[in-house]
Amino acid sequence: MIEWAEKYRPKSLKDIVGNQDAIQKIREWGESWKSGNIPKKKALVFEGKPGVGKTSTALALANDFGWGIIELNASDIRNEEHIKEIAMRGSLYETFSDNGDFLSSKEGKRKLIIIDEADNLYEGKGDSGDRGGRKAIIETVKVTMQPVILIVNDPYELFKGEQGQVLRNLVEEIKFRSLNYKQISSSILKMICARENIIVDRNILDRIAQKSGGDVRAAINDLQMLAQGKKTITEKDLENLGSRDIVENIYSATLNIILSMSMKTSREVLNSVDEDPSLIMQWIDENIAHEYLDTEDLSRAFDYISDANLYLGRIRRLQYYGFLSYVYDFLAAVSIAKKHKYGIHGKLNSPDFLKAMAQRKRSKDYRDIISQKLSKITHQSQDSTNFEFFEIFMRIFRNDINFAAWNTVILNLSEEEIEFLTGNENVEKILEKSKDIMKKMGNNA
Amino acid sequence: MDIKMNVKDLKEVTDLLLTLVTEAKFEFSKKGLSVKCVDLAHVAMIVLELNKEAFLEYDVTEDTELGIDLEKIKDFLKNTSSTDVIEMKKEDSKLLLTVGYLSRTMQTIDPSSITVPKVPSLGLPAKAVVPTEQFAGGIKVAENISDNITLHITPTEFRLYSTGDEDSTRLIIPKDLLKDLKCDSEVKSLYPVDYLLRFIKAINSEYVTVNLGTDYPVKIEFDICNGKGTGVFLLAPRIEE
Repeated sequence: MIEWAEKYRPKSLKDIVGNQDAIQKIREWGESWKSGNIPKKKALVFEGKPGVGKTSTALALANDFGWGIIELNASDIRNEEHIKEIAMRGSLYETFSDNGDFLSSKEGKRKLIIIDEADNLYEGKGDSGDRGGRKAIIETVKVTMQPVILIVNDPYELFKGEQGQVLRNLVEEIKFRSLNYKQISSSILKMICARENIIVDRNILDRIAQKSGGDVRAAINDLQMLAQGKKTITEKDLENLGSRDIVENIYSATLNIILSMSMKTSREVLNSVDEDPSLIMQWIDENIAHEYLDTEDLSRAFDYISDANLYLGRIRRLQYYGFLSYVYDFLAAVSIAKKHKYGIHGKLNSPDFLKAMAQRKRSKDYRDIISQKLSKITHQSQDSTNFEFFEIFMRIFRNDINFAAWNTVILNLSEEEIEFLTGNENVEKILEKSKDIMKKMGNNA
Repeated sequence: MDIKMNVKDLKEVTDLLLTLVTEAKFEFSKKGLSVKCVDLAHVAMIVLELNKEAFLEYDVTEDTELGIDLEKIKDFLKNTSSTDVIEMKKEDSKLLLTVGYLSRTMQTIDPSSITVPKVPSLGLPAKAVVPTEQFAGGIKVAENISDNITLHITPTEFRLYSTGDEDSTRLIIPKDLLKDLKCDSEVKSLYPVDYLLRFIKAINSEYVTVNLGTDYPVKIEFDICNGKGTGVFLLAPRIEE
């Protein structure tokens, strides 16, 4: 069975939905390669969440211009040797296409080198990993005579460290934004249904699109699943999609505990959730503070959660699942921790604690980078700067825009580093001001 | 499909293909065997054709495509002598290799997962038929000089040279020492030396026919399996700044 997400992958840039500014930039970049003027930025970095059209755009670009393609995916080995052998080599020589044409760059026929998930190299994990992969990517971008596109979810992973900064200066970043559900529903899902002869209410397509959270591939996959062996999709089918979804179950259980004033119903709901109890606890833990507005209610709720956690720990240690019942009891008790009745504020958040862990690692990385820069001024090691100065520096940085702007110039801070220091406030102002300072300095010099 | 051939010939075929790829699609028809492959960087291609007369026994009643892991063949052949005869027989999704009392089966690869390139028709203006030994010498001395080597044909001679940061090498063969030379006006292009080196080490042909254009791929034709088959090697030129 062909996946619709593949079958209906746009063939041409003009078929790409959304991100039109980005597409225009990419087209101009392609024109430049075609005309024989190698653009200053020989590589583009496509940044964006899964399913927003990064890979599709790269493939469509090659197709529009009649270029060959070399693609390195996460499933390929991407260590230094392999990237040099395939991507770098491919980037220096002319190419044969799969159709048996010789593609001459003099005639504007290029070979597009696509490195997918370039932020996802498994470096430093023994010989089978992608050791040296990033270094080889950087070298390829430096020497290439052919267009290169790097595709990432998380540009920070690609641009971190000194090597990353070098790379950042060599490339142009193209940000892909998530499509809104209307675009997904009316431009993409509707087209697919028409071609597959599926009768479906507009409203249902909207709901599929909404559920995807901007991930077109996910939306198409859901649609395909619902349409399996049918010619019409009804409201009822949509429910199937929902109940098959485990997150929805946890979601409703969490919702129930927050809204309900009855321990008994909460306990019953918890019993019926077929999921890891610690994950349920994390869901409640993640969302309770946004919903229990009275601090005393909240305090009691957290007391119960911590008791539940205590028993989870005991289960783990003793491998005695008899305690599971107590975990559920305490979690259910969260619903009677409140003296007030609350409505629900907005969407519950998923306790994506993996994401949180990545975030933590990232803030440590930023802290290290900034400390390193700062250490050149404090004339201390990075560690002691980190220990003695960083907190004070960050505090002043946050409160004094002038100080922030000057230090942005002096330390050559990146936008992300400023965001990190200020907690994402006044970033624009600081950047603007630092630009003024740069200008003035330039005039005096 | 059930065939027999000299171990030496199969070894030559696999060694040649291994210069570019680790897996290849062997296409057996009633007429004979054909293999085409392109390397991952899309810079070089090899096309090999062996008529059924090149085999000791050739029993192919319908077109058969076999996806073959070349390293496995190579490993098996290590334990045989070049004067042996090998039998290759397809059994469902497996290939049975037998040499004397020694045999092994190997799982074949889904042929649809291996891309077979079409071979471009290039219309190259110049042609020189060069003794392989001299050609190989010219490439081998260039190995540590530069990453690239220039092939150059003029109406009077065949040249091959490389220029590094400090050193340079060249090979010049005048027309009367070539088996054949056709060239109206001179042509030259720059090619990756390591591809040529790996290729030249893998062939046994006495002569190679070098077809050349300016900033165009080179097409090298050669004999395989003692003249029982033919091979074509295509290599794309370096993009000049």
